[in-house]
Amino acid sequence: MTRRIPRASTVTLDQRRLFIFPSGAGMGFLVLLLLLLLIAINYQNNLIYGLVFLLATVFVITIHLTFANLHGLTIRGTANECVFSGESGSINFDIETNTRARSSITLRLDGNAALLDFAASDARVSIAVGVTTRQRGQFPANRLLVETRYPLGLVRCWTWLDVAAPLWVYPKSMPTTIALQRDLTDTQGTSPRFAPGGEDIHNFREYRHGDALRDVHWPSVARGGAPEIRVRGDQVSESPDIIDFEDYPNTDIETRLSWLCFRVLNASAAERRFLLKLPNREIVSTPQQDMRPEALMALAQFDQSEASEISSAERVT
Amino acid sequence: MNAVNAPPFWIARRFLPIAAMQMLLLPGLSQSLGWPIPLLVLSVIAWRAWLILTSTKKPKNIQKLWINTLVVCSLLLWWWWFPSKLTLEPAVGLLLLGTALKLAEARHFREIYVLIYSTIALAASLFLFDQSIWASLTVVVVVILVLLALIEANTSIDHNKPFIQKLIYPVVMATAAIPLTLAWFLIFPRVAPLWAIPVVGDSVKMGMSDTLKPGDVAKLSQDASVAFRVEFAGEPPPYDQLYWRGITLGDFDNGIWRQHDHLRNRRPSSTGSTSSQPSKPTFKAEDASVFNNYTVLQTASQRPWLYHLHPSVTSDDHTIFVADNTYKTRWPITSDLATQYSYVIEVATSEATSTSRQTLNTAERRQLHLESAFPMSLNPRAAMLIEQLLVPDEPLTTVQRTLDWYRGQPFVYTLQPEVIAESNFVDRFLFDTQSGFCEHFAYSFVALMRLMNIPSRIVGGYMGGEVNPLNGTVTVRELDAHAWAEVWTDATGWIRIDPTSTVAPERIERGSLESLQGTAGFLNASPLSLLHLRNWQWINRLRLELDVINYRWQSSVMSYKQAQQTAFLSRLLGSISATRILLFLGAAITATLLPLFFFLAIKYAYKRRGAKARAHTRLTRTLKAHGVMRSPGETMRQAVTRAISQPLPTNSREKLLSELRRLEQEWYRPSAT
Repeated sequence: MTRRIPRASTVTLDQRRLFIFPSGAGMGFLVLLLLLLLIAINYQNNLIYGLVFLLATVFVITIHLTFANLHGLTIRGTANECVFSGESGSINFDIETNTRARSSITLRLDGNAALLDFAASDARVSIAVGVTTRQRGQFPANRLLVETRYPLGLVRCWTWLDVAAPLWVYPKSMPTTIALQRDLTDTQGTSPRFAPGGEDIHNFREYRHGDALRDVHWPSVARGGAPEIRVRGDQVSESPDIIDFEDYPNTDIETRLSWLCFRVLNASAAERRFLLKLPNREIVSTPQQDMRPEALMALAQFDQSEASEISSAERVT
Repeated sequence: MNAVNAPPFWIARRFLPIAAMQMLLLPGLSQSLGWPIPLLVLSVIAWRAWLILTSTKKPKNIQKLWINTLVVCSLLLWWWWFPSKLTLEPAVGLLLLGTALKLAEARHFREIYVLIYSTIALAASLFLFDQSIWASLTVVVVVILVLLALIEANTSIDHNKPFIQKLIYPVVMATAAIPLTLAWFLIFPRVAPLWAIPVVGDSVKMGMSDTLKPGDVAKLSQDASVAFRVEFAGEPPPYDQLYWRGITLGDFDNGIWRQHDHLRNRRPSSTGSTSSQPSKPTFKAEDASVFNNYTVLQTASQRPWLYHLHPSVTSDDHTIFVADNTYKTRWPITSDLATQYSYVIEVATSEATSTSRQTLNTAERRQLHLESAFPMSLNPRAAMLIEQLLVPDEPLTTVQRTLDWYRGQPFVYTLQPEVIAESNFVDRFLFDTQSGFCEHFAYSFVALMRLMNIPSRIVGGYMGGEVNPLNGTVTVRELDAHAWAEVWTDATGWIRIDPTSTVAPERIERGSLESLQGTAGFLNASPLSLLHLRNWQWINRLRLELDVINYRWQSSVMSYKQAQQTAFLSRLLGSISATRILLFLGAAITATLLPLFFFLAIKYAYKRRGAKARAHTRLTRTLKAHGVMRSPGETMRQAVTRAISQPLPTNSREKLLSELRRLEQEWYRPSAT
């Protein structure tokens, strides 16, 4: 199958890609014809012969009509909207006909079906097949089954296509259940939150070129050390929420990601700055530049093996 | 399956074409099945159709009870109506009942296929009983409805088109199917029946039966249906020579004449001639005999005998020669059958005539002895009569005297004679009632001959027929059924004697249609026959025209058998070879598919043009509403650009743009990516 119909974002259905075979009803029809043929032979009845041949010809015709109903159709997977795990999403296709009216085409994907009917005035139809997501990551879409039995239902023509654009599923957002180790130490330590605009000094940092002289902490200079700058409180209050993958070392990965997701959503909703730290990447978001979609996508795309590879590589260097 | 989400009413509508097809088949089937079952079926279908049309929903439990009652009732009716269950009609009756009941209870979409298939089987079984052009037209309409039902069943969206428009596709498909159907019909090899088949019951069998008791032929003379048609190559023989022999009845037992066992019980052998079979008489051209070739197109009589003039010869493969100088087929005639004969008008050589002047062997002597057997004691008055008729050793004179005796008596020819139930039938008829028709005369005449020890037998068949002035064919109807006698003399062999001619010479000279018109009982079974209106000039003309059409139908379609096939195909294809047949078939497939796809493409283009025009009109209207008239040479896009350069509310701007997009999509497809 993969060799005959390889993955592609756009597929035009042709002889190579289409399969055609009598449906169950069609098999019944053929059995009936055989029966009638036997009757015609045994009763030497030319009119029954005629009826059998007329119906057999209709069968031949419907093979071609059913085939033509799919042949030449162009199917393209279009971008899908990301959803949170557990929500129902949809996988979208654009279907385009060139020369013919088409009727009663069914698209099936993982047990979900959508019906397609081209009125003569439609050249292109967008269709969404609804799916229910269960797992974070890329939705494991099977091949799309495009089938039709139109017009007589005696013949089934179908194909399996791998055209779906990826549907990314964010982790399910779950409130954290363990308190953060870092939060606990922070409250014990000397890192209180400062009201913006305060005059109190709460931190020091190295002198950089261009710092105001009045902010220089002169006693340290007097002690013979490097000059230090007094950092005022109103500046420090903008420090981001650090949402770190390593915050919950003893939890399984999917739960960790769900918690991270919850915290990203919270921070984003409260219009706070946050810093999402994953083993292989970091994303900083500010109210001016909301990185929420990127953060969620990073969570959705997070790949454990890739991440551990990177962290072990870091450890080696 | 596609209609899973469709509302139930909508599904129910799809059963309507099936109800229609079954109703169409009922009149034809009721001719052979009798009226009670079709009547029950009709009411069931009508009930269901009414439920669908009014979209009434019965409570489920009531409906179930009602259906079960119906099933039991119809089975009882079936059991009572068909006394013998092994013939064809009970089987068809059961199929008909089953299909109707299935229709009554069907609620699932999938059942539609079972229904359609059994209706197709019903349509085929109609052909077992009725092979007229009308039955064929009915079945063609049924096939179109089958296609409609199938298309409806497989269309996911109800387009709500009017019925006539829905019919277009099925009609186109059926029309497109004609070339290939025809090709199949012509080239499919006609083979002999594969196994013995159940034959139809007596009610459907036509013509003479293999027994004869007083009253049988009168029943036939009420029936105007066609028994066979004859086309002569030359001039037809004189009318009073048109004695169509079918069967001889020589075995008298208990008041009933039967065919002799040794004639009837010959097993049909598929190998052809066996040693026990007498070989067909042949007349060679060098005999200088004079022939008149003719073809008999027999309709399905469900009996094996072939009607022909005597003496005739035939070389057709399906014929068997029987010792009493008749022909029959190996199987009962279940569909129209053409047989070609040569009627021997004049036999040149004395040697070839028949068995008459040859020395008879013992078996033949014994046969002649059988043909003289008649119980002496039953009819004492007749036994007295023979004493005055018999001229010893001069059988021909005796025959003449007997006929003269008939002429001298006040016999009355009537189709509704007094019924004679006693065993001394001959006495009662000859001396008391003295009214009757052909079989009475034949019966009594043969009885008298046998009492005088002259071998004789009754012959069953037809006499006369109607000569159609339009094409010269002779149409022989059931009402032409006739019985006459044959007498053996050593000098002449078997000779035909028709005692009826002594009493009703007009029956022989002008045929039953002319002579019996207006008599009581004539045509009673065919109240709708156009024959009743023969005296109306233009109706008679119409009737004769229809007869010509029917003859063409019968001779071209129905009797297309192996011999005709070989002849026709070699004429059509030059010679019959696998390559030529395949080429022919290929041409037929092309002739079927090409016009079909051409039609579909045209239909699509037409609709597309409609879509383009609609988009165009819509946009023009919207532009006009905003005060913009497209100037000559200006494209739509330019006009729209001009329109939206004016100050406009956002939604009308959107509307203009979307309609423009739509228009461009319609016009410049499929370049859209």
